[in-house]
Amino acid sequence: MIADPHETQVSTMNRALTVLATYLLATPLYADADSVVEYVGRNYGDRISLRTVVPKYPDKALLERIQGAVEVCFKINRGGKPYGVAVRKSDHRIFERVAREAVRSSRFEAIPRGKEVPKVKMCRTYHFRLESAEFAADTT
Amino acid sequence: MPIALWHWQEIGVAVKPSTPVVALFAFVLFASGSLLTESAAAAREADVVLGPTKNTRLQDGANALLVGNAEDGVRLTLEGLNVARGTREKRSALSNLCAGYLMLELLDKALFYCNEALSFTENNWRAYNNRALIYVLQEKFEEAEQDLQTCERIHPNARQTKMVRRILRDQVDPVVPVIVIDDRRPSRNTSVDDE
Repeated sequence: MIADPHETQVSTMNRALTVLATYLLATPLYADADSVVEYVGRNYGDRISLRTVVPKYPDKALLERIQGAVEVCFKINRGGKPYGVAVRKSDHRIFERVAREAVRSSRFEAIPRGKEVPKVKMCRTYHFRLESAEFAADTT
Repeated sequence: MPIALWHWQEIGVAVKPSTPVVALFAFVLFASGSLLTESAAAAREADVVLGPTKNTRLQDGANALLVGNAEDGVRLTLEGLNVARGTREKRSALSNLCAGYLMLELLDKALFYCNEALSFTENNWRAYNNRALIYVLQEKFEEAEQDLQTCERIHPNARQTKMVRRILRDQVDPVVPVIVIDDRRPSRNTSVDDE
């Protein structure tokens, strides 16, 4: 069976657009334009991260030069929305609220009807660090 | 402006829209609003040795400074200083002049009046705070650090002092916030049903 070249072209274009859209949606959203954001891998099984919200570095923490990490665990419903968001580990309470809110605002790919929703708890760790501005300038 | 109030009106002002300071201005302006409220409360609660009507020039000058009218504030405060009676009036006038000249970015004059204010008492944390800011703006960071330490010893939780501390830190040791989002390691493969 010979495929219609026109149909193949449209299909390729659709796939390319889908990949592009997924890439754009999956790009972390910058909550603070002055922050440097690093995104390290993903390990969510079937759940593809569509929108990763980056928490804003809390002003007070910036003022007092506080650094730390927060691990937030959550589940994802069929629609791709996190729920049951809870802090599992935290170096400093000052980061907990922004971390929880960032997870709540993040989105994952929805699971189509008829397909089982993976019932696995996810955990995401946010590391809040402060680097010397001179060092950061040197490395960019 | 991080405006500090002392009794009914002694003002500390941070003004210098230079690059590292600009970022703080939104917060500073926000802070000034709540401080106006604090000033009213302080006026009511203070053991008012110097009532608002005792030296109206000083009062008007402070009010002008509070709303950001530095030129009128300085002029009125200078007039108030000329008729000031007692140490507290003079001390307040000098401290406010330090703040006013700081608003006008006349740092040498501001420094002069801060020093004068501090010659009356060593416990005037607002004058130390203002002088620390002057030193930061003059890039005299060691002097600024000393004044800030004095401030923090006298009034450990002063918001204005914390702001100047941040300005100093940003000048001496600027940092960039880095946020790493690590999705690599699920904490554990816990089934929802297990919970």
